[in-house]
Amino acid sequence: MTTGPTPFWRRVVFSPAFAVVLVLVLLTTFAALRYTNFLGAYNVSSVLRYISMFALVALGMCFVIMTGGIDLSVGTVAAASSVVAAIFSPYGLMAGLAGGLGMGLAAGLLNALIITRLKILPFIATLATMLAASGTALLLANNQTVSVSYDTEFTTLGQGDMFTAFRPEWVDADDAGPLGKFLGFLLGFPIPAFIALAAYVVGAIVLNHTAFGRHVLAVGGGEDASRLMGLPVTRTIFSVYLISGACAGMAGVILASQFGAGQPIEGVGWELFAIASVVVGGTLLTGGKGSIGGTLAGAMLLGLIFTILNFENGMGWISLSAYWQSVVRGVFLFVVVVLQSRLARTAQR
Amino acid sequence: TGGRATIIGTLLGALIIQLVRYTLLANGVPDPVAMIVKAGLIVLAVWLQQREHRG
Repeated sequence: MTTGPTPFWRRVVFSPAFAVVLVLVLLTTFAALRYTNFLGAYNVSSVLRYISMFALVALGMCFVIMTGGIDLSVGTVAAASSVVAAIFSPYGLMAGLAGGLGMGLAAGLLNALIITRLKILPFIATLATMLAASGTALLLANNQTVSVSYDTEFTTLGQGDMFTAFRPEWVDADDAGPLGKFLGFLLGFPIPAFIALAAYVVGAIVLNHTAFGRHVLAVGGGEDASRLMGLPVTRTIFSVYLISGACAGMAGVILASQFGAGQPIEGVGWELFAIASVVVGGTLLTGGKGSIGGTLAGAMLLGLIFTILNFENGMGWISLSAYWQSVVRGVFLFVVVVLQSRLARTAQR
Repeated sequence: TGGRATIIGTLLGALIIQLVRYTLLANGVPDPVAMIVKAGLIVLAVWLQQREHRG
């Protein structure tokens, strides 16, 4: 290597997030050419609505992984939160939101207490919480889905769009043209996607511009060293599990609100989706190095792959059962992760 | 943390966990509650093991 600081373009091109964004753009172009209406407002909006839940869970997971931990409980916690939110929904949007978030925070608190007080490995502690949350969800829901109340505004959170009130009529007309369509899309930005995006902005600011963010990375880089330096290690670890719980809780609220029901058996495999998004985004599983933007790109990439598989099924050329779809996803994920680690190693040289 | 394990111990552990589960279910405890008990059992077992390990 030459002396002096790495040039800016080199840092950008070799950053893990860049490769992900590149693949994201390529795949989107491919899909837009192959499937009609792939970039239509309806499809984009529903895909964003769906991905936002996974993106939220991945954000919490990113913070946990940066400390060198793992949170396997996110999926069932989201399921439990969706049940609680559905139960509280007759009392209004805020009650449902508070209920779901509360459930998520409670699970996060349980994780944090088991890990910091009992000094049990995160892997085992969150595995236990995963079971407990699933049991709680089934108990509260009485083994079936819980319908949310449609009398209150609860469902707008998952199904509504951001700026419906300011939407001029002409953007919905047939002859609106590309500009009108684009404007229509911007104004019709789905609320869940907006929530996820806001959470990511806050997450990025917290990681890059606060003492807490630096503590998270320091703890992941070396727990004992951080403790010797006098950093609040226990408090930092405690906080990341609370954050992860809150994110899972929010995802659960969106789940209930979007599909009109609290779903105790949803959330299976969400933790894997989240972990994969985080890793694909360039965050080290061992902790100490991470990227919020990369995680968002990773979550969007995985979501896009799922969507393309669905579209491919709809074309009728191939007909994949749900089982085969998960096999394809697994293979895809494997390829992406292998490429990612190769790339990360090249960048380090 | 790894480094110390026995095959027989793993078998015994799996047996005990399933035994507890079926005992609960046979006594009319609903499945979700059995799941929560299992979670508690895992945490308890690991915690006890760790205390012993550190002396």
